[in-house]
Amino acid sequence: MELDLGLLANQVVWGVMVGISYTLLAMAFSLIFATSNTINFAIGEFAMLTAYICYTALSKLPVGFVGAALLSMVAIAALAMLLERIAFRRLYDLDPILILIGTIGLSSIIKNLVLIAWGPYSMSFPRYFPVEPVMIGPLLIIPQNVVVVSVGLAAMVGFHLFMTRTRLGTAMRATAQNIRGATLVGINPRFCVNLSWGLGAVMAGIAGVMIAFTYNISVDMGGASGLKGFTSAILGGFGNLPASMAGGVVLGMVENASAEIFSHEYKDVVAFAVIVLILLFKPSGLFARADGARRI
Amino acid sequence: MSHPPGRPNDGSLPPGATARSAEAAPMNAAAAARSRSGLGARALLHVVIIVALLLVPVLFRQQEFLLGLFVKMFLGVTVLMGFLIILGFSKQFSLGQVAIYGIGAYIAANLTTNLGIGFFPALLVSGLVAGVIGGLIAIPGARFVGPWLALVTFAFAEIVRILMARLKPLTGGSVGFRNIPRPEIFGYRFSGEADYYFLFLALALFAYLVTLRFRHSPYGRIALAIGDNPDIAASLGVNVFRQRIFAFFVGSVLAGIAGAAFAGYTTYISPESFGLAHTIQYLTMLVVGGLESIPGALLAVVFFTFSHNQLMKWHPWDLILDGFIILLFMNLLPRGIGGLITDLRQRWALRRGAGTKEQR
Repeated sequence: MELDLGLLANQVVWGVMVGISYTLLAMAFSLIFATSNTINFAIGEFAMLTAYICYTALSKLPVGFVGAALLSMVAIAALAMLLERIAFRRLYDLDPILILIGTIGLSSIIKNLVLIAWGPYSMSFPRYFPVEPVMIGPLLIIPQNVVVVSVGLAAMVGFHLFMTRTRLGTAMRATAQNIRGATLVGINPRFCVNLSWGLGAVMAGIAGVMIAFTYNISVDMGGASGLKGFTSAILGGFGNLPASMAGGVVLGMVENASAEIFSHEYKDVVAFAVIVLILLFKPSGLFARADGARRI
Repeated sequence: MSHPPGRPNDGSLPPGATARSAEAAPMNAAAAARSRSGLGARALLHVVIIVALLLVPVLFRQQEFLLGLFVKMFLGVTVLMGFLIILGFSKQFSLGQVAIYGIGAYIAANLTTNLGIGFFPALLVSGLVAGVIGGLIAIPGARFVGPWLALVTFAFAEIVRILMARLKPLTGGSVGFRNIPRPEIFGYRFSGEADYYFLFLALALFAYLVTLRFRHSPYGRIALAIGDNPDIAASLGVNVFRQRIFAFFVGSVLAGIAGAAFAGYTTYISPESFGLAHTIQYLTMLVVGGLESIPGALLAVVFFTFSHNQLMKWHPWDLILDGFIILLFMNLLPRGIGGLITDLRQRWALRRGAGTKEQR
């Protein structure tokens, strides 16, 4: 097979874009993992649900894109925090396996409720930004994607600043490090864990809307994108946010480059094989620091 | 093994039960009391249930639908027992049980249809191959705790599902694999539900006995110890890595056999039968059963086989209900039915113990 370098470069650019949405998912996973010590399988479904809410708000309410996005983010954050409060708060002392099964059950509930409410057919998002491609050298750039990428990048940077520069963010990092220690210095760990679910859901929601803009929305997008989020989180190093960012972008590029080199059908297989390989050979992640310190 | 000091041996043991209660000595007093009084009762319960199950196809020979439900139940028992060994006893969070079950089904389908191998040899081969594959997946996960294995096996299950739909020459693609020959034994070809009833009953009994044997062998106790705390188990000289892989192997063999039998039963398999939704159903059963309890898991299979059959018309509400059941049990009864049974038994044993003391 003849390799077209221009096409390959395009796939890499596309990969960076998709990678940013994976990164947001990875950050959501890492954040919730760090504070409540469980991998939240419902993250992918949070992303999917947000995309659906945003879709309905865009097409039914006169709020514009920004309004619809904000509305869906607030909704998903409130839902996630409510769920944490009702269904998961009592579980943290139990076997982590049980909590994990609980989040799987939750993801099944969300997915099938969406299936009932919106139907099984995939829908395309209303076009809000120009989609006619612009050629820059050999690269094909779609203006809509530029907007999507900038929003994603802004969310990543904003989240990072929130976690490192604000009192609340610091309190959440302290909770993630050591709940008892955090309690001793006057932090309310329950509130921080609760907030981490809300914040994680918002990150996932932004990713969901980004994916919805670049592809279509469908009920199955949650599972697939959730798994990609995991993969990038592991690729970077779990619980390590800057590394998760790098992991997401690397995964997006590898996936799209391999789709170009091998076949599109096996694109997902490559992503999943990456999980297995990383866990086998470099379980601490590609970008783990030598001292093994965990940062969020 | 000897009695731990401080536990009074009141000398009221029936003569036949001494050896067994001595074996159970390291357990707590209630468990010992249970094995003293409950041995006869438990054996009786087993006999009654097995005789009743053997009578079902005789009494309801014409009711193919009912027999089919029982076949589904036995299939569920076989898969779930394997899952119980992997996830319940040794706490290896696998999401790949249904994928391995599917692999067993496709291997058997290929062996019997394309290579003309008989059903029963194919059953054995698929069980062993599935076991080896299970052991291989456990390798990356066995080094880590909890969630990582869930990821590896989830990824594995997705890869398997994609390959089932894509590797057309071996799997028939997403349309499925058709015309799998029915099992044949000594020239007799299986036809009605009743034939399958006995086959699957035998499988379920086999799975049950394997699980029971595993649970009460050193392997099972070591698996539980590893599940509780791998570091302590390792410090006592247990090879945690090897034990985990062994548990995965045994559980996967059961799944593979179940899959092979399923292929011979439906004569048609497609990737749809092996999706994540099925894994969630088995997870629900495990949670309701209480993760570590064999009787709890059995009761859960019985309940869910019949309830899923009733709820199927309202799909996908049945899957939503599964999710709610998981969350409810976790919050209100995290040790499941199995935990409830243990509690009741202990309370009963204690009360009995107090009663005998008063008599003396």
